[in-house]
Amino acid sequence: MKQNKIDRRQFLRDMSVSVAGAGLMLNGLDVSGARAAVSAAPQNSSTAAMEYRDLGKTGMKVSAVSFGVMTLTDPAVLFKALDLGINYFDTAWMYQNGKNEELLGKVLKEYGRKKTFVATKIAPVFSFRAKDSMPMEKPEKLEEKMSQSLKRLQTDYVDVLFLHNIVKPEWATHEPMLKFLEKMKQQGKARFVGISFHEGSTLTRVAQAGLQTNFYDVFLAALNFKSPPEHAEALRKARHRGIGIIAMKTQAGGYQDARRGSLSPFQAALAWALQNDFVDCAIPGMANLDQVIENAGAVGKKLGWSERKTLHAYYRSIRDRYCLRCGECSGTCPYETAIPTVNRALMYYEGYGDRELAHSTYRNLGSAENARSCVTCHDLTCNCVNGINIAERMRYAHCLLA
Amino acid sequence: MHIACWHNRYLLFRMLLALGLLSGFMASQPRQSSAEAAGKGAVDSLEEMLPGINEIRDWQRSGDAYAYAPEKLYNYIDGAADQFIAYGFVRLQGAEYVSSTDQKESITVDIYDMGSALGAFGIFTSKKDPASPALGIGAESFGNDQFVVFYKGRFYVEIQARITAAVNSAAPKIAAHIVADRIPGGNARPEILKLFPAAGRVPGSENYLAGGILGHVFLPRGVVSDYQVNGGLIKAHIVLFLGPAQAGAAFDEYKKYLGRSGEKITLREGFGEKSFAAHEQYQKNIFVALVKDTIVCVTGLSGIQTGGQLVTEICGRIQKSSAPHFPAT
Repeated sequence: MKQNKIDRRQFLRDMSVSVAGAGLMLNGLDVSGARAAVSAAPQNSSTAAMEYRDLGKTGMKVSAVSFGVMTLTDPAVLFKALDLGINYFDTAWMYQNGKNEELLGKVLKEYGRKKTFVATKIAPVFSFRAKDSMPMEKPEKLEEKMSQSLKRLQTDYVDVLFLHNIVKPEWATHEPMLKFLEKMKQQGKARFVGISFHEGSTLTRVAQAGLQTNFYDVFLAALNFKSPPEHAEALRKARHRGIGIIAMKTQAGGYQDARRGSLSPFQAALAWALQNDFVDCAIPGMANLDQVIENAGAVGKKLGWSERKTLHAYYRSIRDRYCLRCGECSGTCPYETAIPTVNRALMYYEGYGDRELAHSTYRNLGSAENARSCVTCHDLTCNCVNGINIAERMRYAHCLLA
Repeated sequence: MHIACWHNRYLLFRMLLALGLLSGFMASQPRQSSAEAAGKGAVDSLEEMLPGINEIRDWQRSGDAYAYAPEKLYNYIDGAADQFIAYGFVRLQGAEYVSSTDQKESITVDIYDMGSALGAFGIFTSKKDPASPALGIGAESFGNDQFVVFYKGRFYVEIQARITAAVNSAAPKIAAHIVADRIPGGNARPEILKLFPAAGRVPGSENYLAGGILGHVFLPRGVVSDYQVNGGLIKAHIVLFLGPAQAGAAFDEYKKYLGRSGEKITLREGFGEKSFAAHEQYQKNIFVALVKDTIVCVTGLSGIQTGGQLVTEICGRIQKSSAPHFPAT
């Protein structure tokens, strides 16, 4: 494990100053993968040496920056990642209806399967919709899915098999699930097993439940600079018990493309996750070459004063405009401006860096629904329960996107 | 002079009267709604597209219909939500149905409004299973007794079933037909796919990609198709932009990127407005042309002198087609 050279408590304290009030709101956000476009990667990032860490007690030495393959469509991005030393790749049975596993399998077969580590995930329930009533999948169905995954990945085994998206603690201890995972291990189809979980309201309890089983080798969990301290504490506890910890959702959004200090906000957010002494690696989702180069550039970077300021400023810059899209603002405008849709257009522009989709979304609004009337409006009946200055954001959107 | 002026005014009055009568006549004619034009039973709202409470024989809707906006889709389909959002997802409306003979038998009908026909097509093709047979539902479909997927217009529809009794096995397809009949519009594939010439094209390889064509963030979205040329497989991409200015900027950015990577760029003439050939790491040889609001890019070429004919054909079709090509609702 890496020595943590920064004073994390101090950092958390620093962050908490600005996080206070809006922090709880932001902890509930999920815009994973949303990020601004960064066309020029740092000059030295492509040559930065990759750092490898022990994944718990598995004996696997995984790249600190690993790869969430989820949204990828072009194999060139995987080859670039391999060239930069990334050796751990995370996919799932359900991603792109299996095409994601196929893409990864094809590339790794060409590159050399044994030179890499592959993890896939299988959901323990038929659907995630009715979390309270949906019955667990039968083990034979899970075995069928596992066979499909291996076939798509063109391999006989995965290095880690996760139960996907555990939102209830009892799912982690469900006996038939444990038996299924054990069987996969015995048959050599999975070297190690784990659970993936990210829902803020149950993350700590799921981690505790998983720990109590004394069964899992790896946890894949959401962790970023906005995570509450109890999430980090639960994962630290698991790491002390020898469970490998992989962090996901490390970027926590992506609303800034300006570089402050030596790291971009995304690199700083990734570096923050990796500097936790209980984190073995992170799997940011990457879909293009720029993202791979940028994220690889975070390897080995320490969070000094200026980088902490970067994160601090990043947080401050997003907290008053980061729309939860709870819909509470609908109907508060006397002119019937479609506030949630306008905010969504802004999300495309600022969060995804997709200016064209933003323009297109905005232009598809009728003249009565767009924010034209906000430019001269003084009524200010619009209201956001999370404190966003809607009037200001609407005026900004109209100037930007009309 | 005075008489002429009055005569002109009289003529103007008669013209205005005629126009008024004509517009009144037109307004009095029964209007055909877009839904009617699209076909009997077509509706406009997502919820109305869902099968009714008892509409599927021997099945009932279980509970209320549910809906997800982009920011909450993650709660429903986990990480897969990112892909939907990148393809322009606007809203999901769905409902669950259970068999009246066995409550454990269920089907889930999810209708995704993808914002554009290309978005729906893109999600469909990203999930398309070549091993599953087409079902003749909507613009394109595939599935079996447990799983039916199709798209029509800007709507992508997924029907998942938990069915063990053979007597219930038709339910997913019945539900799919009900939804398809209610979605307005015809069953055509997106018009833009016609820009790909038929000669040499690998059938069914057409796709719409979002999130970085060839891994480049400056090439955000486009359609792609495979071609068999001289025994080798190459890919033709048509990258889509909001307008010619954005396409031109991306074209220049591409050249700069290749220059920074140390690749030699060979300018070519007679292909679109500007064009070049080059080698790109991970893509073999590429041929790139700027045409109107698009960039045509053919990759996987065996040499930098190849690919010209395909680029010429695609550029010609784009020149003849009416812009904009950017996915629209």
